[in-house]
Amino acid sequence: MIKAYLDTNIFLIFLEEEISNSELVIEAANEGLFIPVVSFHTFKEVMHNIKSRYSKDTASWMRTLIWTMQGLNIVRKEEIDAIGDRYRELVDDEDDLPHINAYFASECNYFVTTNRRLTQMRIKKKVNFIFPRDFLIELDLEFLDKKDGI
Amino acid sequence: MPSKVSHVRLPEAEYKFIDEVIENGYFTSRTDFIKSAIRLQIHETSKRILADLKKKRKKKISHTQLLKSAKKSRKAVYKEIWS
Repeated sequence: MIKAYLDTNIFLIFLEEEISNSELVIEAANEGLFIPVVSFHTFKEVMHNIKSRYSKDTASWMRTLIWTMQGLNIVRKEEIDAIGDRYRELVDDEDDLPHINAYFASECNYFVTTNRRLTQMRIKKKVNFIFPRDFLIELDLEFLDKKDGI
Repeated sequence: MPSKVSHVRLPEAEYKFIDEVIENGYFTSRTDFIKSAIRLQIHETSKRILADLKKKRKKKISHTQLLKSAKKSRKAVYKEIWS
């Protein structure tokens, strides 16, 4: 079965947009159509971001929504550590590296993100970046015609 | 994660249904079925609560602003964990 790493922005867009391709991706995961993967970083970033813009309660509900996704795989710090700086030269910002490492540690087929900047880094030769809309197409599911494929 | 035991009384028909789907290989045990049902219910409830929050929200931000905000969080978390 397809394994896909879901970037933090997928969950933030779910909350920000009335309806989005990111939300459809989360629904597809919950229907068991692919194996969703996040890292402990994802939880921390989602919590940090939502707490700063909404409230602690909203952030907690989002955390609950993520950890109850069907078949969720969570990449731990030790697994990210084990890869170390192997891909550092191919990633412009060091703060993106833990997510790239988590993608490799969990042997994902796709890295679902809406961050175009990330998809243009040199690491794109090794990471299968995909936008939510294109990922839904890959899964043979219906998608929304939204700007940037979000 | 620590866990607690809970005794649940179910109607005969539901019990029968659970046993049938186990027999057909959809679940490995009654515990597996019940745990999965609870997880799904928690997921759907949190989704409903978040949907209500979305409706009440006054103003939303653009995708570009959202990515900037996400980057700020990424930097902060990275600093907290790895520096």
